[in-house]
Amino acid sequence: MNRMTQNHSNIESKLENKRIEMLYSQGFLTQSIGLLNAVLYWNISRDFISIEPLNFWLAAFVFVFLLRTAVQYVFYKRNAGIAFNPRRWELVFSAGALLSGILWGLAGSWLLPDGALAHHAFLGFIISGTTAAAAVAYCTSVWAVQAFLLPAVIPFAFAVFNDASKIHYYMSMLTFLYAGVVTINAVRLNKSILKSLRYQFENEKLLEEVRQAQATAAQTAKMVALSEMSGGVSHEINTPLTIINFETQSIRDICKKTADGDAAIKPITERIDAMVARMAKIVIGLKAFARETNREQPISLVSLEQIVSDAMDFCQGRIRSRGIVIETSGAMTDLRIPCNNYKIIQALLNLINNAADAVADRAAGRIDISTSEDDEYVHISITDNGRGIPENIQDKIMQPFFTTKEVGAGTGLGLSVALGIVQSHNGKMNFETSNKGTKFTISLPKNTKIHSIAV
Amino acid sequence: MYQILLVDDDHLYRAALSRLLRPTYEILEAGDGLQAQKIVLHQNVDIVVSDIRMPKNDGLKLLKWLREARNIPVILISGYSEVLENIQAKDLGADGFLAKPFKFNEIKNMIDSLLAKKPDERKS
Repeated sequence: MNRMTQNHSNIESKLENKRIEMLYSQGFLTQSIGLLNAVLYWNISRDFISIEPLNFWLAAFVFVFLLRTAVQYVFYKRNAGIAFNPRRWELVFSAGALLSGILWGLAGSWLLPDGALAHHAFLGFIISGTTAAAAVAYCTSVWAVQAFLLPAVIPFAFAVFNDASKIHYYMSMLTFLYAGVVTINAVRLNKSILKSLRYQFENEKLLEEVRQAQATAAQTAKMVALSEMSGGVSHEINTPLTIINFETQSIRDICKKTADGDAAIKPITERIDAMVARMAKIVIGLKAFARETNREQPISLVSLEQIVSDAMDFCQGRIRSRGIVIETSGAMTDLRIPCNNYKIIQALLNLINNAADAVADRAAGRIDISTSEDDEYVHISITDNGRGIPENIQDKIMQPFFTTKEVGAGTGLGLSVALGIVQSHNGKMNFETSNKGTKFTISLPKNTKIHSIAV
Repeated sequence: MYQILLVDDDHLYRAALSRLLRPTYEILEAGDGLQAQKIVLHQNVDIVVSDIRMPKNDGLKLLKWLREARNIPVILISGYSEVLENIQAKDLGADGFLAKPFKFNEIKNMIDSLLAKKPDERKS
């Protein structure tokens, strides 16, 4: 859900940026044509009206043109991309368009010579041409179109309406009509362009998601194949490993009967034992992986205390035999949580196993398992006093097959399996680490709607 | 001598384990749960050491049957899934549980301690 909102707002902000980018990139050409029109109008009108206001008007036009060009090429270009606020830049552009629009409005009212019909028609021609071009060029912002169109057209329409002749009357009506039609078209164009831009961005997003889904599917297929294989392999390997243990014992028993035989074979049988233990450890990792990826498990209400004490039953002997202190604490009341207890125990065992490895080289290795709760979640924390997780690998530790343990000591599946289990319960797994130790916390929701899980 | 029934579909495993146990105990062997049931019905078995996954009548079924038919201590052995099957075995009332691979001493100690709990009314 969170990710979806994120994607959605991503598209929205991309759309806004693109809209403003188009507004500015198409603006310069239109403004140049506007300037050319202004020069033409100045040249024609100076035969009819006094030159001073006309010069003043043209100077203002050139000034506004330079101002808008400066805004576009100096300020906008420099700011685009960094802390870019599209709305503000739309406002800046619209203000520039408003200035240009007012100048055309002045030309159509203040600088309009009396009674020169051909001249009025020519001005109407220029204004409508310029505003039509602007309506297309500024179409990604309805505000910018209106800021230019209305002040440019409306004064002219009123000015010619005041002239008493029939043709002026029609000209005025047509100008109003023109302003209306251009506005409607600009709004429609705006909508359709924004829609197509949105489709474009959504398509890009979808393509990216399809690519990711393909990659994930390929990875999942590999994982399923591997887990099927590892399940079978572990089953087939454990019995022969047990037989090797038995036969090693037989060798010991036989050699015990001779005085020096016992001492002679001791290092050999110890090496056999060590190799069996090493293989068994790999098989345990593979088994956990096979189990977690394959089977669907029902959810039931299970006592938190039971889960923690079951997990302790399985591991405390092995942990304590390594000289590590392991203790539980916290409010383990009769709180019951909806979960699959086998899976949660497996996740806890994986974390405890990692904690034990983290404190293996410490003189006073210690693992604390504590529980707590808030309104929504039950938290189970496993804290060790090891050396912590180096910063450069912190974002990799949850990945399958990532391991810091030496070859043969770990499968790199423990954390990713634990994370998968917790996520399948709609829970969270976090860790805090420093050079004084690491604390992994599993948080499980107290209420859940899921009825079964498959990791 | 106590009689121990070893149930596992792997005959090399049974052979290796019974060779080690034979000096101390009398060993009976079965390749699956059904064979094991027949042996239990006709012999005075003192303890059953059974694998969980077997072709005919797995170890959990054998355990259920034994809980109804005879009051014999049962040790279940898993070659596959130590956590899940351990809990299932516990729920069904197994007296002991071991996950392969384990060492001879582990099973020897478990058998010895379960037999020590038994009232010793049997032949030595």
